Amino acid sequence: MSDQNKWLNSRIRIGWFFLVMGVLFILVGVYFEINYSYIPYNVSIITGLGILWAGIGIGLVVRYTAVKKGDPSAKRLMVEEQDERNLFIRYRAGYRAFWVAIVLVYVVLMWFSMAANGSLPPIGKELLWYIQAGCVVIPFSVYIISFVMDQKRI
Amino acid sequence: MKNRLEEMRNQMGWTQQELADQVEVSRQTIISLESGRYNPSILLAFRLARLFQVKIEDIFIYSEEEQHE
Repeated sequence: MSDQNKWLNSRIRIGWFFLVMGVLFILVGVYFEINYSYIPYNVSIITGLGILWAGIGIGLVVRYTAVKKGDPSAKRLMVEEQDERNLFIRYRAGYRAFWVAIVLVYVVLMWFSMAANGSLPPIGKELLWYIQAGCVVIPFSVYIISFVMDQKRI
Repeated sequence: MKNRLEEMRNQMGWTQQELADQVEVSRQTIISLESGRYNPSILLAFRLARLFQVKIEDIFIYSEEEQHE
């Protein structure tokens, strides 16, 4: 079996895994919604997660099965995905986002430490929410900007 | 890195997409290679050399100055 076929089969297996897990989550979610509607948790989250996973699974299975059957547009899609330049750009964007995330988390931790001994003002609950959101949004933005700029530059 | 990829592709009468399909990369990668903005991996360099039936050095022109760029 060629390396490409092995890669395709592994992708299809991952797709089936997501699909099966998604269906299981949907069934569990629906079961809980019907039989345990009184519990103080929002069980729709389980159903929603199941729908998301099943969708991802169907997408992976259909896409990579089409590639395996020799569909030219699907084949081109796979080439785009494995393209070394695209991978290089993605890794570079990920590397930059990683370091931005590290610096942000370090600054926040330092702030907490200094706030504890009174050197800096304490961080309130609302500000903490914004800081946490920033720790996610800023590295993600760096990733996207880096990706778009390198696509033009390289 | 300077290269003769565009010249060799034109000699064969291939479009950028046709060359990209043969070495299994995106058309954008061929564009970047031809313009010298992107240096290929050793595997891609070998695939291109085999396709054109030449040595890697016949396609890609290495100069010492580029090492530190």
